[in-house]
Amino acid sequence: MSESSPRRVKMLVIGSGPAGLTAALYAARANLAPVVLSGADLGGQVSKTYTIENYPGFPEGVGGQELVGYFREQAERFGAEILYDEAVSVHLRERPFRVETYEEVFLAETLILATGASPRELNIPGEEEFVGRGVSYCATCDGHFFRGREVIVVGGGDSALEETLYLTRHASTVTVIHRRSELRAGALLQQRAKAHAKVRFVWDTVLTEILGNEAVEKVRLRNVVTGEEREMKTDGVFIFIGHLPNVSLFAGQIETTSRGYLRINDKMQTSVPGVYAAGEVADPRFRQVITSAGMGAAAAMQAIHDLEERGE
Amino acid sequence: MFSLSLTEEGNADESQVYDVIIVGAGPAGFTAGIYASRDGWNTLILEKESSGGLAASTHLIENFPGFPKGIGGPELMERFQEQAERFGATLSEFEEVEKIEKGEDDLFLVSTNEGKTYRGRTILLATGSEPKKLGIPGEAELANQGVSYCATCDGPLYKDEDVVVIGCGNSGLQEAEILLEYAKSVTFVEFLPYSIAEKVLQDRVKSNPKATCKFSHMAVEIKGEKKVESVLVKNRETGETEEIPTAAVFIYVGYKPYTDFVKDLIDLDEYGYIVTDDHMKTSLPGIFAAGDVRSNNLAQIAVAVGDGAKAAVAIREYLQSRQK
Repeated sequence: MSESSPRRVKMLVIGSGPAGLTAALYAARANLAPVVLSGADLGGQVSKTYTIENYPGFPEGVGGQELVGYFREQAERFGAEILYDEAVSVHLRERPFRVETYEEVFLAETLILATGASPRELNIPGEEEFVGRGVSYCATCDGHFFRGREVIVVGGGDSALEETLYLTRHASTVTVIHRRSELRAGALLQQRAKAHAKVRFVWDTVLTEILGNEAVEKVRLRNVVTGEEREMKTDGVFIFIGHLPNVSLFAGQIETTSRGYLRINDKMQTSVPGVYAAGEVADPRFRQVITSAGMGAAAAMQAIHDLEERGE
Repeated sequence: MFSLSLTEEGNADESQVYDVIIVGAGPAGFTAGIYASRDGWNTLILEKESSGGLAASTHLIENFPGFPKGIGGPELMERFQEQAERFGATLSEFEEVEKIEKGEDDLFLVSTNEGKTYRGRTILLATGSEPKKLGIPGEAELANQGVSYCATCDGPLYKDEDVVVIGCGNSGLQEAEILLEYAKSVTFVEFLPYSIAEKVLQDRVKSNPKATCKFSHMAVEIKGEKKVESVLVKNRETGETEEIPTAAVFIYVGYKPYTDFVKDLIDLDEYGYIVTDDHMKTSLPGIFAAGDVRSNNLAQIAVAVGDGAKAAVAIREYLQSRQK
């Protein structure tokens, strides 16, 4: 950390996914000269997405990294400063808010928390390797690519079954692999999934490896009761075992929901005045590039408004 | 990554049941159309004018994320349309919805000015809002004769002439850019003592030698024989009036929602905007709303588009929960 005196900024944005970069664009256009701490991965989850087909304005689809590049260029064009630096501590009890990074110390009049959420991973061989080539954590994003193909779903909660039913609109079969002999999901969802002609269940079973060449071709399974191992052919593996909002930096300083997401109102305000949140760190439900961008715009507009009220 | 199978393009069809009928082809409506048709839902978009909504009448959009150099409103909306149609949504332009009612089997009946009645399992209202009128003498009489609500559309007609813009909010200043490009001078008339527009827009106008700003002034009359010749403005502090000679008056004094046709069907707020929850559900199950027509909307394309995607997800959940 730096020895020099802290740097005062009107707005500091933590996170550089669609929410953070859109907030920075709006704040920059209001002459707030926002600073964005991008963290290690500029663009967050989006930059790991191969093709995005449902971001409006790109009829042919757009690469994740390409889109992030546009977001960045646009924010910078109006005066946002994007740093490849990461917050290591955040102090929300006193305003301006003190944020320490690897390189600097900031005193920020307003903060936009856009740290995102990370899908829980299986942590098995082949998983990381085949992300975007058959392994997915988002049915809305990628289901369409599996028209008429066979896919596997891993998970047994509400969201896993909702996504399973959604995937039946595209895939020829959806096989749900669950580690236990019963599901956690609600009774009605279970009933509908079990009654669906395209849905099959494999119980008491875990994935141990994802295999393929160019794309996913098969998975290795282990029955946790009998210990028996086998392989199963598949075109896609959808993993729905939960998301973890990235909130550890703010722990104990700000209100969260029962599921651990930052609690916000419809103006993107958190429980701490002057601190706003946008994107997946505050959204367990929609999690789309465009919904996060919309939240980023709304958060910045509210911050701009609040700063004007304070006569900043 | 894999090849796509595209749905055949079709025309609006009364004989089939649509999963989703979207009313309004602006940013919110098209985005919902992209999502819903990509989900495989049978999707119809009805638009009372040509597609694109207010966004299509914006000269240059600089704050829709993804276009660092800015993009013309008409071009952005063409891209939205192409994307929705690519996934199989059907668009019918110049077809105005006159009535929506609940029919049998949980279906909604949507009647249009063409005498057609479409059946839909769900409805998305994305009708947006339209420019407010000043309601002063001369405004209606000289409409399209120099009185305009769209600088993008009509600005180039006034090359090297003096023009007046009423309203210094975001839309007034944003749209003025094309006027500052073409016109000889632009006089801004603002009711308030200051502008509430984005700072970047204010700075650009201030630094342009063609621009003059009259704050705390209101327009009281637009004068002219066959076309606009001048506008009469009143200083709200001193009460003095002044006549400004001008070839055109561009009016940007806010917007009103387009909701008259559903006012007896769902809850509206005191200004006529549609009340929804944060999942875009209106007071009547099966009817959703998105974009600038929603209560407390922020009038931003990026936000309207986010609404459209949220509505599509909520519609999917509604449809899935009713599938047998």
